[in-house]
Amino acid sequence: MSQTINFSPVTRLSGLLSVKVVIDDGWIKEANAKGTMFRGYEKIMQGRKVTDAVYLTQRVCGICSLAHGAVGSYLLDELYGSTLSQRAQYLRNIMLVADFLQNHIRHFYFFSLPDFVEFPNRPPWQNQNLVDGRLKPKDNQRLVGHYFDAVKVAQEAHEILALFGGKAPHQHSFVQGGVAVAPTADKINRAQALLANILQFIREKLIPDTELLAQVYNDYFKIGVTPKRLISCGLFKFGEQNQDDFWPRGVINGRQFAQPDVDKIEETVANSWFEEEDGQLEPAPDKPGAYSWTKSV
Amino acid sequence: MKRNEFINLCQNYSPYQGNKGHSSLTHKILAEVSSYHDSQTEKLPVIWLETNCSCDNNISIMNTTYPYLDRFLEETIDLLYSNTFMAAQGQDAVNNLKAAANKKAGQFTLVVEGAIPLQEEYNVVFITSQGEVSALEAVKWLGGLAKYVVALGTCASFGGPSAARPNLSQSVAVSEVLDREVINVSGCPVNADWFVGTLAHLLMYGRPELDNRNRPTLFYGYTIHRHCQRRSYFDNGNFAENLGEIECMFSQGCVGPKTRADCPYRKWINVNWPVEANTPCIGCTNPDFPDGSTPFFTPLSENSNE
Repeated sequence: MSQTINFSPVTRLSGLLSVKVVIDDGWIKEANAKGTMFRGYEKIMQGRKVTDAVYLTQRVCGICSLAHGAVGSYLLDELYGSTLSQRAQYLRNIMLVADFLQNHIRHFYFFSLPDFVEFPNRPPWQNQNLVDGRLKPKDNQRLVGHYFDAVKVAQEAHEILALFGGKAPHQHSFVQGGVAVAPTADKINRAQALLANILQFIREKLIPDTELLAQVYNDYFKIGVTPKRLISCGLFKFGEQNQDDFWPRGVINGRQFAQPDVDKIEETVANSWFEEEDGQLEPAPDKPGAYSWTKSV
Repeated sequence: MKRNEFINLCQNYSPYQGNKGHSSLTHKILAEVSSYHDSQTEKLPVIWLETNCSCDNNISIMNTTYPYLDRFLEETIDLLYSNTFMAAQGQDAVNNLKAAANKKAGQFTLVVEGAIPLQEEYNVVFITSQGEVSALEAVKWLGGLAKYVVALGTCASFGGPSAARPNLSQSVAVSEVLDREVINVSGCPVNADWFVGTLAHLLMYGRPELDNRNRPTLFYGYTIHRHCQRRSYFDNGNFAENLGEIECMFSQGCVGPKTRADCPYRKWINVNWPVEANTPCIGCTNPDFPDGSTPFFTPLSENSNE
């Protein structure tokens, strides 16, 4: 007996997602994650001035906005042969880190926690379909409290970004050639105070909460285990030409370590609603066998 | 409790009756105050639909301060459906939406975050056993039941980046698919104050005064240029030669003169705004954003789009 389940919508994420699962004799035969939104950003970017890239690509996503803008800046730096001052290198990374902190804290508390923790039965958490709640009432209550504490620290992370970037999301000052805002004493002082609050939250709440969930749900580590092949393309660029990574790049395959070979990474549209025409990807919502607007690599 | 009864109550529990009277008065009054507070806690019921957007508006709204997000959700609105915040998933989430639309028909505020693709297969908000529900269908269905419709962000208000050329998804503003008034709260993203303030207005005073683009004049009444701290540089013809300088950013492509928003004094997250960060305003609240602002960093007077 084959059964098809559409789990839709998958909530608490940036964007729209549905999952179609085909179950046969108690086994999952197919699981299709469907990204159900198409804007065509690649096409939107074509035929514009290259310097539009930083601000426009940030609009791809609200929660990881600067990650897109940063890559746009790195490419423009290379194109224009920019030499980045040490001050710009530090400021850029402070802004990028601030956006990461905001993203991680919100992801953990707002997007993931309702999968593990029972929330008050009032909007927006009414009729929560928690299928595997395991926490003791006291721990549960504490983590719900931390959800509300996360509201303020995530805002403080974005305040650091706005302080040097002009606004957040979609900051303005991390652009081609460097940074447009000077790290004056008042701004540094304010950022340090904000960071101290965030660090305290991470040490006293985020890390212990993560450890608690990892311990209570430790059997989850065995679900869908894949071979230990991990890749990092490096993070937080330093150097006058963005040539150094603060977090190094590398590939771990079992016990072997190697440098990533980016030429081997390919974007594919085998199951996506796209078809290639004259070397360009065109939307093809009727493509047989395809099920998503997202692409895979 | 009527005013006279309340006064009588206070007089009967005069502190001159002794210490015990004093504390029992507090006890009596607290119960009254508490029941009064409960009767005053009506909130704005909200159904929040996400369509063709980057979800930057809801991230920006998470940055609200005074009220912070938790207080906003607790005291200002009843967020009955929201892809970003609700705990329910799958069919339970759809059931929440249907229940809210039925029970609160004619009362709820529909918030639409994102543009609406006329190519319906380009945005499906969820899939049920009866089939796919497109953004267009969902907005038409809920838009017909809502008391107010709020288009959140520039994509929902005017098409925005989701409708930027060549606009393969044929995305349009919410107002173009609904035959009713839509309150536009534009911005890319929206400033949390503009959205939280608009909903607070709906709750406290009803429909706000709107400009000719259906935006609350409270936030969009004047141009950036009019209130810009660097206006004197402009008036004196003192223009920046590069980003990062202290002079007027008009030379760097600032579209403040044609952009209506209160960023110069509202600021972003209370600390900064693009011109204060020595960069141009790119006009993200405008009906022609982004195509009317690109190429960025090109003076308005030289921009071929003008």
